[in-house]
Amino acid sequence: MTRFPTPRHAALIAVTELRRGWRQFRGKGRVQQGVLGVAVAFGAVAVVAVAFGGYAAGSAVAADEVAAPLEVAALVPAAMFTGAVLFTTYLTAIQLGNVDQRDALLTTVPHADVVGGVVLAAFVRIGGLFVVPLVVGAAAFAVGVGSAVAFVLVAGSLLMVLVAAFVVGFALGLGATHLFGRSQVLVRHRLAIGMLGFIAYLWVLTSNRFDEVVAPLVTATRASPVAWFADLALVTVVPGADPVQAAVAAVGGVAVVVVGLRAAVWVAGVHWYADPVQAGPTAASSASPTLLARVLGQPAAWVAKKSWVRARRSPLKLVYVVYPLFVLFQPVQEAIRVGTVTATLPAVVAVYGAWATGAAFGLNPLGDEGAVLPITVTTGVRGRAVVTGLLAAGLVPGATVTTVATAALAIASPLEGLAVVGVTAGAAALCVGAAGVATGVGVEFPRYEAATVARSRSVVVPSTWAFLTYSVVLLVLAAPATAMQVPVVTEAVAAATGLSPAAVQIGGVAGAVVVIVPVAWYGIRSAERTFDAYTVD
Amino acid sequence: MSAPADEDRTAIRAQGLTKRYDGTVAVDDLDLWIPQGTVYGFLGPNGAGKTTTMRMLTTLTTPTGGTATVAGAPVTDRDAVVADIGYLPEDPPLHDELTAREQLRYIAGLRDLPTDRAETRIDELLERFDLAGEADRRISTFSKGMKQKTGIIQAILHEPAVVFLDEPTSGLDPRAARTVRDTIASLADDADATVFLSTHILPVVDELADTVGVLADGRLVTEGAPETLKRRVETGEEGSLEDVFLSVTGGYEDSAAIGADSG
Repeated sequence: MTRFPTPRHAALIAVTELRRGWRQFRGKGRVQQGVLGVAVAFGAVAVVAVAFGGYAAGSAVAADEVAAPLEVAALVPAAMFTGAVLFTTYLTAIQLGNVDQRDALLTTVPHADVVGGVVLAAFVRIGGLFVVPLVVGAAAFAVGVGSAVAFVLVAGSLLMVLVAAFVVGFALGLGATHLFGRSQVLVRHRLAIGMLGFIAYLWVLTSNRFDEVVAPLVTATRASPVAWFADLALVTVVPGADPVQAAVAAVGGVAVVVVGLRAAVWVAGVHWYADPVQAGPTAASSASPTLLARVLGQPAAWVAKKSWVRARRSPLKLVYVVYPLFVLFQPVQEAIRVGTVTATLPAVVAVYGAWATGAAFGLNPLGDEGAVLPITVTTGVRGRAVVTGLLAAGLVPGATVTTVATAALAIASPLEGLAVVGVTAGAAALCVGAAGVATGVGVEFPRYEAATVARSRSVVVPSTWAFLTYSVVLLVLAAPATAMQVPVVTEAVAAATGLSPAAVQIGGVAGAVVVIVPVAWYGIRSAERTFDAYTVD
Repeated sequence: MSAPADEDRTAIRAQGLTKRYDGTVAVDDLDLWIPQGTVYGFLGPNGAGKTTTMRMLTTLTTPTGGTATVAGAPVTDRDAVVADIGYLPEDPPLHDELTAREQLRYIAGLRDLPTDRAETRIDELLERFDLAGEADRRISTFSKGMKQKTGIIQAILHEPAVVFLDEPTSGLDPRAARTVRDTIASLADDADATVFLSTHILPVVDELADTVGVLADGRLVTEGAPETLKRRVETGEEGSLEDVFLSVTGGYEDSAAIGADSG
């Protein structure tokens, strides 16, 4: 078995992967290309900052102004190694380890060549982003310290750290994917686990706890021989740098790359040829949605039941509903920290809950049917039944959870009794309104093409226009009710109108209901008509 | 099946080849001997284990029992096997972002074909499959049939000793299907290659195969030359391959009506 990639094959695979990636990018919309442009602009600013930092550090070292330069400098390779290993492990687990047309490649060249090609392409695509600031920073440091050799050593040592971390991260990510895929329990619940992981990640990010999570890892890495790359980088400009440690770092860096690559080839050989773990037979859902059918009629009940079953078995298609959750992290965290629910939190939860209730099943009623749409429309089912089913699919779980959560938070908050009733009723009404608005917007902006959520997973999600239009319309309609729950606004309006604060809060909710009901009704009717008149052209 | 008459002419040899998934037997104790320069028609109902067999023989999955060699190399030696085989899975493995010519050059590069030879071969095959005029279009714009043709060219580009084709005529118009059938015949007759052909289109097998093997529930329930199998159907008269297929895959008691030909 080939233990290391053949450079020519690996390079050919990498070039082809990069070419494909570039063509995919060119085929994307202008908005996504514009986002990359903005990212590049931010990157340019970061490069300038790194250049200034590098020059300042070099000047400080030259002027002997840094008390313990090696200790400070050791942070750079430690942080870089830790971050790159974590990042690459994560990316490999979710994306890089899934090779397009893998069977074709594996029956054409040894799998070691595929590993080489994939790692090389990924490094150019992702690691390349860090190479420019790294080289610029090293050059600025060399200018500051007044040594051309320092440029070679700083850039070379940091590049070696980056490459070593990338290769190690790839092997770890592939290994984690393999181990994860060996457990029936994990395979069965992988998407739910992924969602929980994503929420945890958002929480860490939005609660400024990232440092707390990563700092111990960086400290541990700094205490390891990875710190010796600081000796290698500074061996010619800092008198205290240990030449032996520098030499060990240079040799060790190459060794880690070689061993990491060998490990990646071995893990890939195990993972890519492994038999998939069977998740076991899927528990059959009940033969008929009896309770719902009695209330809504059989066709609508089946539409709702079908929506739930599909969502449960492919929760990735609802991942976009989770994205706005991050707005709740901060207020919820603050409430937990001080042990008091603020007066505004129930209203915020009500608005998010209503938004999610509408967005979950209503934002792409035509496109979500996929290849089944022609069959659905020719079954003779009426648009009213389909739309009713979609509304029920979102409202039964969404309105229930939102209303209960809002009521519980309102009771725990400083809101008075009448205001508690008002905000709770408002939450329920907002959910109903949101579901109606969503279906109306959804049929106006259908999306039939699948979008790649992760590299190997494509699902049909609502169009960007549906997403934006629905969000803006709902927020505008909900704004009066929400604003009136904010104590400052409540008191100001109460003072201006002479009404009691509770009356203002109830009035806000009532006003929103009055506005949202006709809009929702129009949306529902529009969706029903569109469905009844649907043709494939 | 009989013992191989000439081991030197063996292209595919499997003995007791078995694959189990978590207690489910996908392929059970499969014995095959397929000589060089022949077409082997591999038939079976959906879920019979045909694709699993092909994946074992192409090294994409590891057998849980038995042994197999392909083009003289054991399937445990992946690098040696993949050097001598071509494989077309049911869905042609192509990158949509590339043109057909770029895709074929890419595979030729990975196969280490010298550039001149690769270009000549690509042009010749594109011409044969009536794709020369479309070769510089992106594969994403291709019809199903055009993708299938590109996939077939990709599988035979390097003139492999053994070619595994899974439903090669699927999605092709009659003219293109004719070209594929002629190409398969030519591979065996002129290039001395062995073609392992899995398909549900029985007339294709009837026309091309030197030997037919039928798999049901992971077991090889009958094997032999098409004419031999058709004559042995106990319908009282000359049958068709469809009669054979229906008879031997209806249950093991039916297969006894034909018996396993030693091929």
